Amino acid sequence: MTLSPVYSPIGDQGVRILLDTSISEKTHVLIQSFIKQLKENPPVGVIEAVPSYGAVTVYYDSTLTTYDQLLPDLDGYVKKAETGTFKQAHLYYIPVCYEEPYAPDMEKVIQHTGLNRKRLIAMHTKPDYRIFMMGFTPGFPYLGGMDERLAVPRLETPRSLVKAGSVGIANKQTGIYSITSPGGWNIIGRSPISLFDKEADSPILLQAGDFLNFYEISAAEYRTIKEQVKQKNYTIRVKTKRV
Amino acid sequence: MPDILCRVEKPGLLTTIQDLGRYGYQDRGVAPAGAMDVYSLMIGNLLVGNEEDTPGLEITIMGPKLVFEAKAVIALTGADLHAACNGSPVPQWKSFTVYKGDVLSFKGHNNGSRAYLTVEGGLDGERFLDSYSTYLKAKIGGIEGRSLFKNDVLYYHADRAKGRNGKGISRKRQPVYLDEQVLRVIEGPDTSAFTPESIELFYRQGYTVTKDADRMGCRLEGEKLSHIESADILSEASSFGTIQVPAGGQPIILMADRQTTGGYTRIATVISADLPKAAQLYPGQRVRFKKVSLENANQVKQKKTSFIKSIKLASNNQ
Repeated sequence: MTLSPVYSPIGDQGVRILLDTSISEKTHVLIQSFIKQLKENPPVGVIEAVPSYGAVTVYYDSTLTTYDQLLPDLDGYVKKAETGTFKQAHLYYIPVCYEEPYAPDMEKVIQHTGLNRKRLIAMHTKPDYRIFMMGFTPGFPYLGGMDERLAVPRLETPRSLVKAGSVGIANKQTGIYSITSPGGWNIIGRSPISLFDKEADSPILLQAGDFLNFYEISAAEYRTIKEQVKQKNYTIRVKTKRV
Repeated sequence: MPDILCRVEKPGLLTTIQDLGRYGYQDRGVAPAGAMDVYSLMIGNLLVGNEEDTPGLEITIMGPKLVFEAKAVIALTGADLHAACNGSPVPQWKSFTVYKGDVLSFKGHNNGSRAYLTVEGGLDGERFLDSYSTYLKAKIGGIEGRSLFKNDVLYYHADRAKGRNGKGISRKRQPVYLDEQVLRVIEGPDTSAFTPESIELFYRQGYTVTKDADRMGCRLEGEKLSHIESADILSEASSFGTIQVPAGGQPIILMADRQTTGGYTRIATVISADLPKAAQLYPGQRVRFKKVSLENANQVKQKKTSFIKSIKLASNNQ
């Protein structure tokens, strides 16, 4: 491994390990490998680790360990992190209705990109998007892999309420709102499934390292699936993907 | 089965059930929430004979009015919000007994902004992902994930009560929330994103706490800090106590309900021993930052931890 990780304290309860300042799949896979080792063999005092595009922050209980005590273990895991250790991932198929009233910014995105609606949806549903990290709200995935021809700047004034399930575009990113919250992304559709459901056995559907693929459904299908989700008899389609 | 402790006659400004937080799910976007001032909640629990991570009530600036339905030992710690039982002042930082029919009310605040009410046996509430803490944004924990409403009923575990009463800590051990607070910080990690003059200014100037000070973050106002190039970073984990500085040049101290990740430059992070002081800031107060070493932070933490242990020991030996 040729990485040169940079370690910094985050107060007296965190170690931040910087591996990369840009978004790359290689770094992402290394970070996943690091996290896997950390979870399998957590050093004393480690509470949890939060991965992001190019860094990981490891939180620790400062009554049980210190920054200096943790560094050798963490550095050992970084050095052993490999690009090849992460070979299987989940691929979730997420139904999205791109019709009104679920797509309030569709017209704007069509105008901005110069694409027609059909082409736009085809391009948005094509990739298997990689989940690089989770954050913002419970269950919210930061995705990579959107066709850059779909890029549209954020709304100048964020909406005070964006419904859970809304699928949006902000600059070169696409994403899906996990809970109803304020937001500034251009909304081009909505999914009837829940990324965060506090009643479910596993309340959060996704995690970093997984993939997702959007597929188009009609407004009628949206309502059907929404009802099934409500009745708890909808099963999301998942495939194991080799990466 | 938990028993009825009290009924809520007035909910207060923002009263929530909190324990020490929901850890282990930040990688899935779940903020830990939990008590803003963990020190006061821990001590409060020990004073009524509970484990320190038992859920209690976090009471913000304007307290609720509670009518008790049971005899129970309770304690009030943290900010002095002028608590009174049936109109008479009650002690702070010392457990006492309330009886069926007693009315606990709060008349204002003169020291700090968040008080903690703990009860023997512990409050009950909705447990979600291993914690009772109310996380308002995701509507989880506590009572339906929200702050108290009028006519809510609070439950507690009377069967777990250990019958501790009259336990207190000495005045010199009680925190004092000064009008000008000094918060010790560990610098970085984005120090190099700021001009050297701005780093110097950050430690030299005093800041005023703005009205935007809530469970998510505490926005400060002072002379503007300048970035060398950009105020944005590739999104990364954000921590309790981290001080973000967006393009506007005004710092924000991230608190218990922060987003788990953020994209603004971080100038420093408040040391864990001083987070309770940060939690007690209220609008209009002044704050200064003092840079310390990790070694120093560890020493301060050890002192605080051994004090908590000593109270626990004393409580168990009663």
